[in-house]
Amino acid sequence: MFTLKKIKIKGFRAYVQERELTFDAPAVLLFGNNHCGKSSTMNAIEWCLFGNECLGTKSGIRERVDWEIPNRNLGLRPEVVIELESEDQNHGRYRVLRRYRSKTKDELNITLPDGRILEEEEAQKKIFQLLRSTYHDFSTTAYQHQEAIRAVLIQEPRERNDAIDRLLGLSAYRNILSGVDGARLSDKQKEMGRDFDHFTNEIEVALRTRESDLKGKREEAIHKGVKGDRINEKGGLNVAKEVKDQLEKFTSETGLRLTDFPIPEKWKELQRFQELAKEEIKKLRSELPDAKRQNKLFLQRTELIHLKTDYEKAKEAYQKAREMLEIFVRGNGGDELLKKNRAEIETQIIEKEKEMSKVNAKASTISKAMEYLGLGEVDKNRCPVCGKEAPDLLAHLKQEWEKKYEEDVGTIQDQINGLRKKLKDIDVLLAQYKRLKESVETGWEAIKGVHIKIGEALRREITEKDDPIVLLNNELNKIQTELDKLKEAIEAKQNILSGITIRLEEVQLITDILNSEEKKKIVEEIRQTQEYKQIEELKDQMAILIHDLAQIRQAASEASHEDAQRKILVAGGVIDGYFRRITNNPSVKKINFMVSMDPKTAKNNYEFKDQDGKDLTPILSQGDLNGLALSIFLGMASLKGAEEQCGFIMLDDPSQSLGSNHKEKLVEVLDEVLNEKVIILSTMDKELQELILLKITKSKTKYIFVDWTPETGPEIKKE
Amino acid sequence: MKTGTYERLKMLHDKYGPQEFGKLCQKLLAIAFRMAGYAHIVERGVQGVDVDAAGGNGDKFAIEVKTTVTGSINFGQKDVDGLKKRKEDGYQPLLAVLRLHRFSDWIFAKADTIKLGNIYIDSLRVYRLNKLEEHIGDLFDEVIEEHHEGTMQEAQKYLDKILQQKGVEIRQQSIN
Repeated sequence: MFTLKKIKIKGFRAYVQERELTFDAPAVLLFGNNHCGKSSTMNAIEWCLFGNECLGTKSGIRERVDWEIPNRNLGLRPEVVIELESEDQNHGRYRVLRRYRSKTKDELNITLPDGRILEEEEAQKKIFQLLRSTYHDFSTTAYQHQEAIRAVLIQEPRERNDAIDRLLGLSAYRNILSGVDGARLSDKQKEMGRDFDHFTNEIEVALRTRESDLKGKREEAIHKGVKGDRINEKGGLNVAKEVKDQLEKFTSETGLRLTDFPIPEKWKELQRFQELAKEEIKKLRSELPDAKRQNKLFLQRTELIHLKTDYEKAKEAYQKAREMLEIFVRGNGGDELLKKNRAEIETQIIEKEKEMSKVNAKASTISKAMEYLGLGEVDKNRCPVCGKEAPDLLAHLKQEWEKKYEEDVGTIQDQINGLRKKLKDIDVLLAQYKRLKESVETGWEAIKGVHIKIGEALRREITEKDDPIVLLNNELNKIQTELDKLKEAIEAKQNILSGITIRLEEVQLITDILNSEEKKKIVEEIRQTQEYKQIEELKDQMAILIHDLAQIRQAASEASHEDAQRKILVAGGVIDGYFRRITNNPSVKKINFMVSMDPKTAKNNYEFKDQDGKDLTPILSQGDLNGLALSIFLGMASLKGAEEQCGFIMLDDPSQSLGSNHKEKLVEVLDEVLNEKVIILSTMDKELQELILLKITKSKTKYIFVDWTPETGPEIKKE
Repeated sequence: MKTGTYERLKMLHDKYGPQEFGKLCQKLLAIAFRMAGYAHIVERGVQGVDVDAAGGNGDKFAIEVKTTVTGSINFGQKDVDGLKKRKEDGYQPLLAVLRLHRFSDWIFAKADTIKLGNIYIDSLRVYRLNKLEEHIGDLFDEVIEEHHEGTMQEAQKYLDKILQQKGVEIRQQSIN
């Protein structure tokens, strides 16, 4: 049996400085309050033996998920080393050393009794051999975790069954079953099916749309006169050939040239044929000889109509100008009369101006004298001309000016002004006359210009003797007659081309239908594609995977059940004995520990029945359930032979929920277990400590975890 | 199945409804087996396994026919019992499933180990008899093409007449 002798711990979880504990008695007791390093000591043994196996989710222990190995007070480069000395049944000594490197890496070596050193994987294998146990077995049969006990205390059957599986070392099976269930492959398969259905539904919709489209096109084709038996590749090709033949005949008859383009041989060439033929018809329409002549005549006709309009406008403008001139002459006289009147007025003005000048000589003198006398420093009572004294001369002169000169000069001046105004009016009339005369001349020039243009259009000279309107009308009538004839001829040819276009539309309709059928066919043939076949294969593989996993699940379930039955058969009696002793329940005389397979989950379902076959769990207290968990653990730990794994067990705070009586009985059972195994027990329970010290008959090593500080870690006293 | 087959089956389904459609498919399938050379065919209209088909090459199938428009079928205790009984008589129990879907084909699955309950059709892929599916599937297309019109007009009556003409035994009573 593999037993522990000594451990040195440094930097591991609660530990900071190196501490050493020896396991030199069958019972090693770790006493002390919470948070003093007791659990870290047990964990250190586990981590030294199994390293990262006991960390994270794979440990199966929830509190280990984010576990930190190095003590937080050790800084960035913590030194974490655990050295464990142990001994096998032949007293061979082993030294196991594990050193922390990082969250995912550590170093392990083991020194064998013969001095050889094994490292890493080899070292780990050796530990498994020595313990005859994997981590998983160890964690359920050698190390009683608080969590396993807590799970048994839970009344919910599924979790309790899970916990008992763990206590029996069967949780690997349960994990397989949960893993298979958790994969939810059947759901995935259905999801895959739904996705595929969604895809095929889209195809279905696409097909329906195509079918509806196709139906519509067929109806349209038939409505447009395409015979039903022609709506196929052969029909389309035949119509195309007919179109080509008709075009050739047409061009031959009209003398036009047909661009060479091939008659299609496959329906896929119909579309191109249709496009080319359409272009050709468009070209032929524009190239028809009659159409060319018709265009020319249209242009000619337009030109003549314009000329006619121009001539009429010019003529109208000319006549209007003449009329205006005539009216003017009638009202004002002609150029000569106006000029004669002007000359007469000019003579009158000259005569009046002379008269004015005579009157003005004396008036001028008086005026200047008044002006002189009006100056400030002049002698106002003396004549400025003769120098004689003349009292009130200025007033006298003013009187005379007002009486005689002002009236005479004013009258003559008014007459002159009147004559000048008349002169101005005649000048205005003369200017008007000139403008009107110019308008008449311009109008006539315009008419002559149109005459020239009409002459050019009619290819003859137009003189004043001709009536251009009549000449133009005659020519227009000729053009219209020719146009009428051309129209008939062109319509006949265009009708032929339109007939060919209609046939061509048949080609288009048939092509559209064939295209739609082709597209429909493509959708229908999706099943033949490589991708579709791959999906089918995937679906097959998925079904096989689900089937295989179901079989694996079935096998795991059966193996788990058989293993549980075997273990219960071997350890059932011991578990019964331990349980009855720990709980000392007077109503329970015998416990039948039984396992069956849950028909729904195919997982183990554990039942505890009393001597009368009645289910015990409803009447068990928390203490009883804790006792049950401990009984199973201790029962499994006490197995001998093939089930025997290692020479020690570790109990972490086993007295949770136990009453005083339970505790006393537990200690009695432990004393019995000590016959087979070394027990390392950690507890803060004073009552249990006292009971152990009092009742355990084997020798004991007692470590008191006195205190804990961040700098030094736990302070441990050995007693 | 061919697109044409699907279209025709859909017409039958739309006209007669799911239950009658199932019975029609059962008879049409029996004709396909007959065409495949299975000399002894029993088609049961009312009780028991739907179709027995025994061929010259020694193949003997007891076929429970299921049709659906969804992705799953119900495989009941009665079906299991019926097939079990036929297995005792030397017949290979077969579950023939047709999902009325454009991209579906007949699935012929060995029914010995299929658990009863609501079965997702894709899960039957593990038990498929691919060659038989292909062979009978092709013939089924032909059967549908040939007998669609008659079936549309007279349904089971027409198919029973055809089955009789082809020498298929039709049983209206349980053999159990």
